Amino acid sequence: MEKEVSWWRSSTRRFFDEFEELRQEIEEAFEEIALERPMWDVAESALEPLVEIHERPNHIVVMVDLPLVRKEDIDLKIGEDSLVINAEMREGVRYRRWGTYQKECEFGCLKKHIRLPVDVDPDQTKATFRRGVLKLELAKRERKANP
Amino acid sequence: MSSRRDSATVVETTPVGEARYGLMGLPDVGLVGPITVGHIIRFLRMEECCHVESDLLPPVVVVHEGLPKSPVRVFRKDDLLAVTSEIPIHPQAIPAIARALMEWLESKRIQLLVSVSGFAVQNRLEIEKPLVYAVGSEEPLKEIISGAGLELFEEGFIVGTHAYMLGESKSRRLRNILLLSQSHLNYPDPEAAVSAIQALDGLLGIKIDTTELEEESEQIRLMTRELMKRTAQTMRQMGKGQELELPAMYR
Repeated sequence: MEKEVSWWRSSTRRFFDEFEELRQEIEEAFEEIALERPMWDVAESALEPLVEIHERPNHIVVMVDLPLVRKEDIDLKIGEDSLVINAEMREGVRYRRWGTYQKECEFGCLKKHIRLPVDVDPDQTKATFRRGVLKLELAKRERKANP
Repeated sequence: MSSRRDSATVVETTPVGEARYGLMGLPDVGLVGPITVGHIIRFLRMEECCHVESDLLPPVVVVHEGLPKSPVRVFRKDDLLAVTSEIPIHPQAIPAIARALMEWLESKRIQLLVSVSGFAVQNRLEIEKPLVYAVGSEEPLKEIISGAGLELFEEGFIVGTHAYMLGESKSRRLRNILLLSQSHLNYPDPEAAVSAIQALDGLLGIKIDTTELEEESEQIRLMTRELMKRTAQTMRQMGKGQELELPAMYR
């Protein structure tokens, strides 16, 4: 009996270890894809801001680094499972002598489409903007009980 | 015996004699090291003198003024040698790169190496002026730290390149002080770099005007986003989050 329990335990541990490895591999693959994607779009004169997302028990915290942006120039569209940030910069950022076709280009705004890890209630959003960092606290949508 | 495949070399492009101080600014928390050292290099008009070669570095060259350069380079002005990098150092490359730099700095008979980094704090947005903490590789450096008016970093974890360098300095008996400026973890933090530069004045007696750095801080945050993004990924791979762990109750 003891032998069976220990076999079951080691098999379960192996399964979870393999599952964790697979999860890490998938996460790393997504990170690789995100890393190789440029953080700028010449056609839209837009730069992509740095974003951090933290999940708390009742809400999601999204922090976005928005240098050169005034609070009144931030446009936010919050949906149930995603949000779009579009922020005009108070002065353009010009790149000179950079790369090939991007030579002499200027960026005037910061744009980002963020897919949220869980559904949120857009009406219960708290936003603060301090030292060029936008902090959003988005309440998780309560799951409806099964009828 | 180490081969080129698992080692690193500092290549002198112009001969370098002895120097008094070394300064290290590699990509890490809030990019405090590269922003600090980059500003000092520009302000003092330091000249490039060496670069690091290693098969452990990714196949990357940075083109500046039409010339390809290694992303890890050393600059010199008078008695000061400054090391900086335009790419994050992968965890597997840290021992070889750190060892090569330490060996080379030791051969230049430097009297003190100061490494500059950030230390992530959760309430960074509420902090007007980041504090700078310091930890030295040996006991007598505590006096230098307090003499410079810096707080001693007493308990906690340090992960990554600077952890390796502190250990390596200890075994080589090369005096090394690590400056840790309160910083954002995953956003470039020029304000933390300003604090670090002021701390360096107390330690090395070098006067660096930070006006330009303060004025350009928002542009710097924009221009260093990509480096920060890559560095954040490297920090996750090396378990940098451990620095935020509370120290164990017993020891």
